[in-house]
Amino acid sequence: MKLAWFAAFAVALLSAAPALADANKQTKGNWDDKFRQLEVDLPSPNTYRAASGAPGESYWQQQADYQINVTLDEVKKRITATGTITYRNNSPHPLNYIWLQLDQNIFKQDSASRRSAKASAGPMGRGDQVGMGAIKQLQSYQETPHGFEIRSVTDGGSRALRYTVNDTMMRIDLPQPLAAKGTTTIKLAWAFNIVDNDLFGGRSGYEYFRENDTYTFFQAQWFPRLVAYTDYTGWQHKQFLGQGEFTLEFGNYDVSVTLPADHIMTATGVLQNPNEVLSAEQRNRLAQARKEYSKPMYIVTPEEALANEKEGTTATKTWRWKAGNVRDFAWASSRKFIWDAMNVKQPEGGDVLAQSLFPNEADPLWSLYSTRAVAHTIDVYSEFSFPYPYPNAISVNTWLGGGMEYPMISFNGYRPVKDDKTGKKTYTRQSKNGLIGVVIHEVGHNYFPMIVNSDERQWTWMDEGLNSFLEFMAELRWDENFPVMGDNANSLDEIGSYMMSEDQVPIMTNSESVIQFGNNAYNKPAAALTVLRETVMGRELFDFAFKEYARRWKFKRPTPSDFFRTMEDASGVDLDWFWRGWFYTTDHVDVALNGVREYRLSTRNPETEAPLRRERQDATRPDPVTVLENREQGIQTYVEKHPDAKDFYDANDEFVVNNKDLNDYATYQEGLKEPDKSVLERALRENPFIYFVDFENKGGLVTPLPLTFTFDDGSKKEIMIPAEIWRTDNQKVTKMFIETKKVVSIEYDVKHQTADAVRANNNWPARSEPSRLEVFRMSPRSPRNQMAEALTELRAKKAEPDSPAAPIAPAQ
Amino acid sequence: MVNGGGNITRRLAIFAGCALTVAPAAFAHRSQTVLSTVLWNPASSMLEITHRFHNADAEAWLSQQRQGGGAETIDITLVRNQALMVLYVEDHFALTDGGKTIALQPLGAEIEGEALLIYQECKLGQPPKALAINNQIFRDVFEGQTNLVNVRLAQKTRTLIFSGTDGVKKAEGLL
Repeated sequence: MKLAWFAAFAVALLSAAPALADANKQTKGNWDDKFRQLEVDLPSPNTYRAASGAPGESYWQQQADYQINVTLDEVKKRITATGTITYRNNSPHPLNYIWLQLDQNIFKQDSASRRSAKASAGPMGRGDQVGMGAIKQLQSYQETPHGFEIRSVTDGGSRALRYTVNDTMMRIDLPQPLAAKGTTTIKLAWAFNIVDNDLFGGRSGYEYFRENDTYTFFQAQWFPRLVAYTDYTGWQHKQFLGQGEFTLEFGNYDVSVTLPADHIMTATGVLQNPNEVLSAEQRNRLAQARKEYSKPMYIVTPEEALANEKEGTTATKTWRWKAGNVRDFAWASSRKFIWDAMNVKQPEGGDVLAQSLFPNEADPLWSLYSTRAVAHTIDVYSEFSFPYPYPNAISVNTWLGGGMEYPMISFNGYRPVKDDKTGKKTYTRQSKNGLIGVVIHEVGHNYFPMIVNSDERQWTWMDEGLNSFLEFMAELRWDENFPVMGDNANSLDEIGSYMMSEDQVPIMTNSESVIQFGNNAYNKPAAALTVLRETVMGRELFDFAFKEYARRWKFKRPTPSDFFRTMEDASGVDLDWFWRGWFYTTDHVDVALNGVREYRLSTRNPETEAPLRRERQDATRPDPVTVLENREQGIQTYVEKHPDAKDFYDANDEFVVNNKDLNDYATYQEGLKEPDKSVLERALRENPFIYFVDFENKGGLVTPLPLTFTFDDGSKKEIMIPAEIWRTDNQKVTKMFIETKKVVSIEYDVKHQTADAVRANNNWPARSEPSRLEVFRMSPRSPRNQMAEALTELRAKKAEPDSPAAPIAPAQ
Repeated sequence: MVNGGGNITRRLAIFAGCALTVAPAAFAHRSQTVLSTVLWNPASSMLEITHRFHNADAEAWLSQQRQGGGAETIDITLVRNQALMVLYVEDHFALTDGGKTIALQPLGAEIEGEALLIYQECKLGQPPKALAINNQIFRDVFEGQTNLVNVRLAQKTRTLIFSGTDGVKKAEGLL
């Protein structure tokens, strides 16, 4: 993910006042109603998108079907293809032109993405420097151009169509407007040189394995794809700059891929000609794998893949694939691939063949975990949404640390490393968790946005955020200690440091303008949904509503308001405050438990209350230090020296009960009527403890208050105060609690379930929280002596004059 | 013309040890980011700095160091390799207060889950009033590297973002 140019937007974004078209204005004072309803800010419901959040009665979406013949030239690293697109205009509008996405053009030397990229910095104090990658790219461009070469664009009758390429998009002008409900056919021929992913990055390309002179190919954004035409934005008109991903139409695909005959390939869809491209043994193993539900089995073994990659051939084979109702098509091929598979049984849907394809370099890690993680993803995600509707779910090992999703197929990183001393391959805990995590995430994208087809170019959070939330759920069902965010199993502990920042933008920000992409579009919405499920709504209401959203919008295109409205419509919970706070503002959660005052009921009987008042005054007002010192020095007061100056008031303090007090009490008792009299008598018998607890909302984001009371007998009680307590004052509130036992401590958010960012102010009595460094300093497991020794050794070595750095020098 | 040297052609060094300089992969899953926090601890009068690296990034850096002869293995769980990272951070992360360098002391490093945490600290009489930060961590390793620094000296938290050709940045309005 390229974050480099976000900073350029940051200042402008942060200084711009929000343009709210809100009829409600606080014209006096500064009251900010955090519970103000969202309806004035959301798009008006219409016949396409209903007020309930469901698709409206006139909902429509376009359809684009593709028939493509593509050939991979392995030697030249080149794709050549012809295709026919059948486009059905389901909109109520006639269309004069059609837009196609030419995503390969992002790799053109003069693409808008490359031209707007900033230079990278050199090390500190060394000024301008140039990276080897930039030099390699320049040399590569001198030998090989990149981007689509459009060879022909014709209509169904092979008549040439006029077209205009605008960076990563191409407009095809239609001779006649395409009528509403009409269909048109476009034929295309194209080619492009595949990028070296290690050199150019991106989401596809090839990988070269220098040590054994072999390749893997993984192809995505490899054909001109229809730009989405929608009811909310017309033609999606945002160019592909590299960050905001894709907005696509559903369709049916028929793709024939011609490859070197010794390649193993996989793709979106179902293989149509296994008898022509797979061996009898491979077909037999596939049949066996379809009966295996407990663990993966090999279709191509590591040994077979190793032998195969040493061969090579000039012969070719054509693999034919069909895919129904998908929004994209990707594929991967190599003579290096190991292939394993296992079946997944779904309670409500058909079986799914979970598969992985990877080179020997990825083993043993991939044989152990990739396909199992694919199967686990389908189990968990289907439970939260709908049965996985496709027959295949595939994980392919591609570039290091990467991960990218397509219908049925995903490209994932992580490999073991070879130990130089033993020659054996080993993998770290981080690589294992990284692989499991990335497979869950990318396979999980089948649900969001491959099937629930949100607009990625516009709203990244709608797929990445919802998917990260489900990813975390799936990871914690894989292992309770799985580090879902950073190094922590609890994402709500991690998100606070981001949300506290003054330099962030709301989640509801266009994808290309988001700063801190990972935190904004992935982690914060995932944390928000975790709070919503576990703390605000509860699992029963949340799970029903979330599933309803997924099922309503399965194979359709939702917008943010459809999600917000559905979650409320299906749960009966007004969540406008939650969407407003978490998705439309940059507030964070920080509630301070500022004070607790303890009371008992007053009997109003002066003979009972007066001694208590005296006792309390004695406890709260010790004798002044002057008096104490006077006594110490034996100084007598005037009245001690002159007892004759004493009177009634010297013998009786202000708490002595007099007749008036007794008479007043008697009058009060006589005035008590039923049922108040019985209620008071019972309350005085039970003599409860009464607490007034003060809370301050320091972070701005309103939140429920999960409280844990600890009593003097050691017992505990948990109380959940709903967020609505902040309705009329979102800065400070006081809550009264009546308890039968004396409370010795109160803690807010013991379970770390609200994303509270500052935990030092969550306790009564106050409890200081050590900083991370203080915890580290105190930790007995930190090997600080070893670190000190290593630093001493390395510093001494560094001082030796062997630096290879070349300085900048004036030209001769 | 004056600042950039005008039309004077200069020799430009390719990054030392950049054989593994990584092109900007379009991760849909994880970004190339180091998150640092600069925190004023009033209880101890210490400026506390934590750098959080993804282990995979740290090991990619180690791999590069191994090619240059600096690291013997690419296992970031080893203390010696963490010490290499500590020294690297010393060279690539700097704080000043009113132009005067804040001398950061290395406290140590530890692995927590997916992350390598490196700690630095400095005893000061009071929080820095004119803090400026230069963060070049991994920007000579990964093209497209973006670093975030959260600064919290009192109540507010500011995030400084370092990418591209960004040099020194000021952390203002925090006291």
